[in-house]
Amino acid sequence: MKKIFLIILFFIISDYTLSSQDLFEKGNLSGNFQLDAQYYQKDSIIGAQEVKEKILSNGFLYLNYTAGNFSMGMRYETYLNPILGIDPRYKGSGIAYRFAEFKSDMINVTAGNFYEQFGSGLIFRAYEERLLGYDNAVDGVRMKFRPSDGIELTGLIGSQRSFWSNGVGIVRGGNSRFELNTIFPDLLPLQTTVEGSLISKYQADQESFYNLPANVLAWSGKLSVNASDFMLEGEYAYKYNDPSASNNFSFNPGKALMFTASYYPSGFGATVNFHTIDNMDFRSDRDARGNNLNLNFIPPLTKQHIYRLATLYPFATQLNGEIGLQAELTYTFPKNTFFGGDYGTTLSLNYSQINSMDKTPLNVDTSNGHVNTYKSSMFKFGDRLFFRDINLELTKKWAKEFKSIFTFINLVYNKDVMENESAGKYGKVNATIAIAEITYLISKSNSIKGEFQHIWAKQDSVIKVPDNTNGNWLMFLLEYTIAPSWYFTVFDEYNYGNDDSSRQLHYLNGSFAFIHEATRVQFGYGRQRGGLLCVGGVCRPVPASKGFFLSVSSTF
Amino acid sequence: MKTLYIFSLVLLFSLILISCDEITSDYKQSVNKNIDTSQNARKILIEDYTGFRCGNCPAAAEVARDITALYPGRVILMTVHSGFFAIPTKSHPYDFRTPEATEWDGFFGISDAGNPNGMVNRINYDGSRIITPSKWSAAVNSLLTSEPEMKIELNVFYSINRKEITVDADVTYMKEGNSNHRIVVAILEDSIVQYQTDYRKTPPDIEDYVHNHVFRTTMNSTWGEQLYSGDIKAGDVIKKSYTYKIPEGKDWRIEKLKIVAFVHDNNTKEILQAEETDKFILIL
Repeated sequence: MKKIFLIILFFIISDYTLSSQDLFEKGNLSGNFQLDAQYYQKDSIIGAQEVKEKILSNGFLYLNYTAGNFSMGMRYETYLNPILGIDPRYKGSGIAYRFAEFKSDMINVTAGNFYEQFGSGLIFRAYEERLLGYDNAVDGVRMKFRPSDGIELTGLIGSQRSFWSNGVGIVRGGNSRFELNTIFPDLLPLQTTVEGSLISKYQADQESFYNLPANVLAWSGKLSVNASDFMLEGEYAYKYNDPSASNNFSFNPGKALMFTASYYPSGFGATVNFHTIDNMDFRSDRDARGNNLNLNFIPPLTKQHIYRLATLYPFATQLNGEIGLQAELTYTFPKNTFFGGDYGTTLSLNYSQINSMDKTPLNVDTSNGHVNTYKSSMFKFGDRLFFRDINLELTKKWAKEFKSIFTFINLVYNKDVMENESAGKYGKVNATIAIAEITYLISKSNSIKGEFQHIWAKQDSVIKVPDNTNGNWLMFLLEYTIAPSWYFTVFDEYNYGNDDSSRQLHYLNGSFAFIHEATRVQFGYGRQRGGLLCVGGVCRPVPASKGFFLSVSSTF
Repeated sequence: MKTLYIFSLVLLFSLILISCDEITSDYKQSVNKNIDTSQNARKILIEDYTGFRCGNCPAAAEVARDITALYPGRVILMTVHSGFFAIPTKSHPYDFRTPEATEWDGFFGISDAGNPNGMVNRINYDGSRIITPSKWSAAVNSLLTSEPEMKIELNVFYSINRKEITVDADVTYMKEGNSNHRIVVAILEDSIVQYQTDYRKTPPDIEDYVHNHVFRTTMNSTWGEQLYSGDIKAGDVIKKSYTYKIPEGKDWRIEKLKIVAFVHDNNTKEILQAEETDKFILIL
């Protein structure tokens, strides 16, 4: 298959008579560089382990060469050794990503590594997230074809990256996207897009206990309708039987339905999201666990908080089964009114709730109690509450040089689901968080920002094993900016309410950053608390650490 | 050109659509086949890296147990407690860890990759030496029909007075060997009743969990002893003997101990042959 595509690629290139001379004369090289290094010190009070290497670092260099319709690129990665929290299997250096691509108005042909997403990602999304050490790029070939305006067809085949090699599964996929208004300009009054996707994976059945399907197919269909002040989007996905380590070798099909409606006339915005997910952990290797070889990505239904104390209790989509609802209202009080003041005031209210999905066993193996198939209630909120968050954010500009953001969050976090594979140990955490952020512009180029955060948290169960993440916290942050180049930041997180009085610790951290053109250098020192780091609803545990850190990034 | 593209994409779409196997009954695989269970076959060692605080590990131990039941006499289990989940706590101070296990774990990077995980004859399977439990049976399958390079015979004596275990290991080569071949002789203990976290149970705390195949120590260092310093011919028999005095203060119960011996290639680290016995001849 690969060969055929390469031959096609060759013909396309020769078709367009792009000689090697043109390639180098009209070429353009661009790229980026990133280095994250940490010097670790042992700190047994916060649980920072001794790091034998003292220094750990991750480095990346991406180069892209474009000449006319043709481009090629590569990414060199080095993990010597991976910084704490990044999977140690990344240890080593090498070219982790390389591709060649031909692009014209009508077609794209890519050979090598590529990222791709079908629909919202319910059945397929290949992407990279460096903060998590996550990369499931496909290594293979991809064709995109636009026979006429508004129609795009995509076909791909390849295998996925798993650390320094490729996973065993073969991924085949096709996607078709139709922008109906472009195709039939007078047909519909609203912007309407229809998308249909297919993904099939192959992995031989070599284990000894079950008759496993070697080929697993998933499909999805998406419809979105847009107008000037509202948007409706719905997507349904279905996955045929896919017994895997992550679904405990269940032969049930997977199903997912998501729905979004937004209404945003001027000064006001309302969004409602709903999704129901049953058995949608989909990977190109049925034995993969953790953040490895995922084929799909289901966007989280909860607000992704960015304030430090609000990230203590994050939520990640439970792919094996959850039902959730989210609603958000935003209102801007007009200027020169009582609430609006001279500059306007924005208020936003967000609510989300995620529950379990009820499942009743249908076909059970009498010899060992293994549940082969079950019946699920897709539209009934299950008994277990996974997560609930109600939060309010008020953004107010008081004067030309003075701005503030007040945030209030109340959440229920099922610690067992998020941190203990659903086994009962901690119970739920009830937390209330209050945050005030104030920015003051001293002069045109100097500004100061202060953050005050407080969390009141209580856990259901008695804390049997003392840990560093329970009880109340207080935090302050001060950031001084000299535009456009210098940033000085100092913050302290103080767990004064820890159940164990000897663990009522300060996490003091200071850093400065220097930005010059497209290069940013940050250097700092301090303690970093352990916990879950989440990006877009995908999380990884990060151990506590202490020491110096250096981060350099540059684009060219 | 355009038609060619549409044609190839339509073809791809339709091929994907029919690329699906649906299994509607017979979820379970019927029991295998023509597996050689004679004494001369190659035996396969599963090393199950675990910890008493690892809540997913009991399920993995059951997978390993089921594999041994599937291929009687062909699969040997060794449970290796190491890494984060094996660190004792205040409430559960019993320490299963051993220096040899820590060294193996560090060398192969197993608990760094998370528990439960393990190795099957320490081979690379699907590009990794670290093999997840759901892949153990596939890795075992890949080795079942391979020809053994040698045979190991074990005779074990226990001196009641001296509290000494003596293992005589005779390695008979069926193929040619070389100086990279090393033998490791390990002492394991069965049915140790101690605490274990098991996420499948509510509450997940099992105070009286039965730990089996627990690796206790090797008798001849972490990587064992070289069998012979030169080339080895088919038909050669190499005899080794090791004595180990059970240190004072160890709670090992002699009636629950067993010996696992394996020959590995020190370059590739692959285990070529393994053997186990729980027959201890008591002497004074």
